[in-house]
Amino acid sequence: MGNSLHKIVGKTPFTSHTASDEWPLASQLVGVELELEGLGGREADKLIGDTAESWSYHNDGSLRNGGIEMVLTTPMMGKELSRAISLFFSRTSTFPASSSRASTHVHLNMLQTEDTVEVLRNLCSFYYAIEDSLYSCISESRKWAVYASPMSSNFPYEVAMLFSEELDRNWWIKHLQAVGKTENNNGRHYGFNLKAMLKYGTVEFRHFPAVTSEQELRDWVNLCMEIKKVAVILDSKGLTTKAFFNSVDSFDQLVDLMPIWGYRLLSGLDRREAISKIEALYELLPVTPKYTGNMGSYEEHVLFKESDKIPKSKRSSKKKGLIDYEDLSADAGLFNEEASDRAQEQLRAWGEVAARTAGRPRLPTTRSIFPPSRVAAVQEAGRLVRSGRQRRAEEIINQFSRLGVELDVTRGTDGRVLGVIDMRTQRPIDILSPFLA
Amino acid sequence: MANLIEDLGVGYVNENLAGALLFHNNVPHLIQEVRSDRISTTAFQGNMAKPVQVGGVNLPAKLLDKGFESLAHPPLGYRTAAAGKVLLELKNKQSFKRGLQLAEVITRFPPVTTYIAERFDIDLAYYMRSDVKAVACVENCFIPLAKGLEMIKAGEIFVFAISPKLAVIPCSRPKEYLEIVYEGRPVGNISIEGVVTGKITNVKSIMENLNGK
Repeated sequence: MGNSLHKIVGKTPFTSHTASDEWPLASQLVGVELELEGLGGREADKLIGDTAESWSYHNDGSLRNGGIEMVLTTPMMGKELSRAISLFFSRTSTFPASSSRASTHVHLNMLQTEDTVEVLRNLCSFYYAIEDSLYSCISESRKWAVYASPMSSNFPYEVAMLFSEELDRNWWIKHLQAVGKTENNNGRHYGFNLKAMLKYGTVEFRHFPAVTSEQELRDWVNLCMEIKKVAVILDSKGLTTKAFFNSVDSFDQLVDLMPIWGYRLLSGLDRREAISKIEALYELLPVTPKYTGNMGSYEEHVLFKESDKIPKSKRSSKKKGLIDYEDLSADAGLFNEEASDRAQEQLRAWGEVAARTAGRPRLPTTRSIFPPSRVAAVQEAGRLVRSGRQRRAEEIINQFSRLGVELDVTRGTDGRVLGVIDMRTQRPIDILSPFLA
Repeated sequence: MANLIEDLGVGYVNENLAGALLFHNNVPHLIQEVRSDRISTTAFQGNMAKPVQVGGVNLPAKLLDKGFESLAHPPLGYRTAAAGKVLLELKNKQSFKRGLQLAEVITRFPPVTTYIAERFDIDLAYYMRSDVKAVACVENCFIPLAKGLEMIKAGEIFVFAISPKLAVIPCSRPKEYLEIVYEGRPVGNISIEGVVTGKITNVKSIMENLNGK
């Protein structure tokens, strides 16, 4: 048994409910949000009054035509959940016409004691692999509705960070917050919304259009539970999603694990791509931060907690010792010597922190994507040429020549390249330095 | 699936879709105004080197028949530009409005691109222009891995995008030559002969599988 998620996100699990085998996960607590449009005022009042036992009502600014949002009063499981769904549809004789503006969201509680970090990891990665198929099963339209964007439209490394071996509360919370941070909507408008982990301790499925029948809603809740069930079973067997997908009969097993939705999901699944995506999540992405040094080490992330206490307006935009890839990819308008110096400084700072905290060797300060100065670049270029990397030097000269750059190449008596001057600028070609060693 | 205008009302659609790109016959059209029978747009033709804006193009309202699926767009991500000297990365910042809002599409450049651009007097701000961004969304500027490596070897290009997710750029570290980047992250190295020497064992198979996607 791994670390329980409720301890990591600091919330108390719900307890007093009765499990039932009616659902794929007998003891899974579920929250449901139903967005409805087109209900008349009197009809809406009646529906709200009749279902008040299990459903509460909210206004939703994104809806029109008297739109309301009905939410389960509390997370439910088993027969209680079944009863609440039946109650709602028994009180709705004339169900309003579906509008593509309205949608249905299903929350799965992830704070139960059996919900471990590994379960969430498996859930994320399994969902990520089957995402395209899921959209085509439910509604392709939702994929482009902006309010339920696919996870693959996000930078997957933001999610992949959760797969890091750095198992720590600060690490997790930082990366849950980081999901979708580049978006203007706080990153919650994804079909698979991980932001709900921090707010409610749930994962939210936002793929579903406005509900039109009881059976439809039951199917969708079943689908969400079946997806989580796969994650739970894999965890109980000590498997990761990657190991599962790499097994020969994994796709046949999916049908057994997901008796209701398995066939439908598999029919639209590009197996080769699914496996690639999983491999990318598990192998490429968690490795790269360490590989590039962008994310720094655990000690640096503790700083995040401290800075979180500072009001956002007064917060420094830079965390000490952290290098953000985005910062290095400077906007064209801003790129100048100053930006180069800043990046250089950041690299140096990172090297110091990395050396201190992670035991990694200190970065040589003269090696960087930006030469520290033109003089240093020329010196380095000279050193490179002298060091006998003639073949590469010739390749670079060849590249420049083909691009129409007039060069003055100084060669020694033995034909070795001693220096290269750009005739237009009359400058030594310092661009050689980052390419050559 | 009902037509968006019939389903949501022309007022709502007009309010939420104005500024979005509608890709009709693989030509990006910037929605200016939606009426009950037509969509007033500005079309973007040409290529990234020379985009052409055509104002006042009216499209039939039936293009919105597929619901929000009508607003589907090509995958954003890497694009090769300036004859292999610039690698740009398109990213949708998203907003509360619907569709791919052109104003929310941002252009980013890997550090090496800014470095090369400075040496070749390329103005990267050009690639942040709306018309260039719109055309970049649909421009087929991907180069297969083997061909791209050949072109680098021949000195014709510096950088290239294999797919919206994968690209090859010059490496910033010594002793390496080229670097493979996957959605903004360097994931390994590749030699000019095509030998992948990344730290990840299966990076090559991932590159093959994701090629063109």
